[in-house]
Amino acid sequence: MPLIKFHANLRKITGLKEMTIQGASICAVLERLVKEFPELQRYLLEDGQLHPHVLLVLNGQPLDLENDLDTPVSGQDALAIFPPIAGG
Amino acid sequence: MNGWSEKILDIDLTTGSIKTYPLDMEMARLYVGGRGLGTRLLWDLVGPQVDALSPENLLIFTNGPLTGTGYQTSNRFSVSTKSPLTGTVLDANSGGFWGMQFKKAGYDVLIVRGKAEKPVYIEIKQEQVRLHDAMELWGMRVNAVTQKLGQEKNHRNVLCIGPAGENLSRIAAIMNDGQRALARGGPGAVMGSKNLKAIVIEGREKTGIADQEKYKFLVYETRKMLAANPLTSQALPEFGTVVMMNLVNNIGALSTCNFLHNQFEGAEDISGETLTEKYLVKNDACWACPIRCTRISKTDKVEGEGPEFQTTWAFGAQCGIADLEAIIEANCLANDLGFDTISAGNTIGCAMELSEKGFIDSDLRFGRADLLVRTLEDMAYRRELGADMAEGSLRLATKYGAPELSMTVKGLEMPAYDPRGMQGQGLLLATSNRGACHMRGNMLGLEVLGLPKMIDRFQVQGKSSYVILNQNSSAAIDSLVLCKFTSMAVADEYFARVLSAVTGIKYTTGDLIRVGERVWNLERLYNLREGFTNKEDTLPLRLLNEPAPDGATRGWVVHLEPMLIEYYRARGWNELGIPTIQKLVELDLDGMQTGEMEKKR
Repeated sequence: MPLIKFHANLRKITGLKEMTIQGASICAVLERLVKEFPELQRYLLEDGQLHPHVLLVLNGQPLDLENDLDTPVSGQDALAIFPPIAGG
Repeated sequence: MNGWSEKILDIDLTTGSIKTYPLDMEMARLYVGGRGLGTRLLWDLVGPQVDALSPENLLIFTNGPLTGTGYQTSNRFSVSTKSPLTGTVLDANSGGFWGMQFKKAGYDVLIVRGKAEKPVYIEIKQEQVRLHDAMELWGMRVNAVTQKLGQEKNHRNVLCIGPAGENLSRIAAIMNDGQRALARGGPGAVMGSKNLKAIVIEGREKTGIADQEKYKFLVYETRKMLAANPLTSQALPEFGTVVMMNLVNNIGALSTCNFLHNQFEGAEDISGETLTEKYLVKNDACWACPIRCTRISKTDKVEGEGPEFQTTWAFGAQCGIADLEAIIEANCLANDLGFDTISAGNTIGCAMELSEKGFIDSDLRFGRADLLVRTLEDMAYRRELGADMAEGSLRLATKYGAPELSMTVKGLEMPAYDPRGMQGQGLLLATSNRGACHMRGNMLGLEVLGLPKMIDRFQVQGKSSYVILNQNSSAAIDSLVLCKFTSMAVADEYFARVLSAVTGIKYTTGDLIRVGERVWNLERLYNLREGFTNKEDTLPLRLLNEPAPDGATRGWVVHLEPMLIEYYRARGWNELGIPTIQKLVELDLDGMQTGEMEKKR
């Protein structure tokens, strides 16, 4: 099972810094997460799609939300999820 | 008079003369305000023969036509001078309240020249401008002098230097409203060299607006855009800028221990999440800013503004320090002493490496949080090794025989991003006219956040056009002068429309970006006139030659050379990085070249 790392206000919503969860692809992992923490929908999704300001980082590599959601994941992988964040 | 006050205030501290004269409105149209106008005046008034710390150097304070109107984030102002740290063109801008007050006092520009015989401060109350004796203020720290001179948020605002500026530290800032800074490149030392402790301003004038109806509509639209965008309505107010720490660390681009590493084990301990959980008192805002990204933090010992992401990095990961309480205290102290926190932290990190490798004999070591306070004080008062550190990391490392350990571009200390993990950021830093700076455009949006679209952060080819667009846009926003965070939600098109509505002069989006390009090229010409060449468009050797050791960036160096070739071509410069005549004509800069440039061209 891939390791999921939560950041910023996602920690408040889930009450966790990290967790493992089942899912064979990024998409599957996100679907399961939203099922487990329905409040995440408000922060991650817009009209049923991932919000364009959400950032997913798989093993240190930022993902392109348009093309990378079918990327397979396994127990070796770490997926960091950032809600919209900004800074200089 | 719409937008501009059309007035320059010119104070000669040597003679005590105080003059006002009209602003050249053709110059204002071409350069708008802030960084643009300041750069043009600096080009005209401060030539290559001038020592940055001599009376002949000028401090040119500028605001812009939007400043003080109440348009969102129209609070900022700028100072232009020749940098005592780098010898390059320099401008630094800051938010808060002082800039708005400066505009309301009825001036677009304040030029300070010469050197007072004894310490003085300037008091500006509308038409009444006076020089006061500042002997009793000399030696006082920033918070004390700010209070003493009667700082009052919306009424009377104080700009001053601390001991760092008085003692001519080349990394000294000018502080405004107590805890904000015109930080980079050492403008505080220029102010100190003039025996000028402070500038106090009270203003009452309203900025004229040509088309009130359109202006009000654009303010309304901008409010909606800032509220609808999660970056400006949620992310920045809730976590501030320091929330970037975990992200930048995660992707392997968080410079650590003077760039020996690109990931920091202690990043979580100094993250925005930890700051918010343990030390945040409240957030706050600059004048006319709905974003409210300012943090007020508190420990058992101190309470103050910040720390921002770059400061937290500089006193944190850069020094191998994972103690957020010590970082908050170092931030408050650095502000009170009047330092540029990025350069101060970066220089301490450099000294730690010099010390660990035996180039200097000191107890500084990576991770020694307990030494931050003492070291900053030593730097401000030029005690022992602090005297050398007050000169910035390049002079420090050069003196002790290891200039390659200074993480600087053109002599200015690097910000947090390790460009080995963001190739475009590497090009951006290498070509920045004031030296390594993340505020002259930033590739974070494109290379990491995917905004507006993700581009491959390791790709080299094709990066120059993104970098140039970013740099020009950034120079345009700095000339307006607005906060760059607004541009996360508001397109340049809106800025051009609001500029037109306020001034009554039609600016298209293209016109505004051309202002940015004009400013960028004039800054380039200034540096060329100072003797800089394409050889200075580079990065610390470590980043070009030593592969990044950590995380997803492991194995990468910055492939600068091919990006630079592409960059010069795309800028309309020759292979030596000199703007072509054609480019200068296109930007209304023809005639602004020297014989030396002509020969090389």
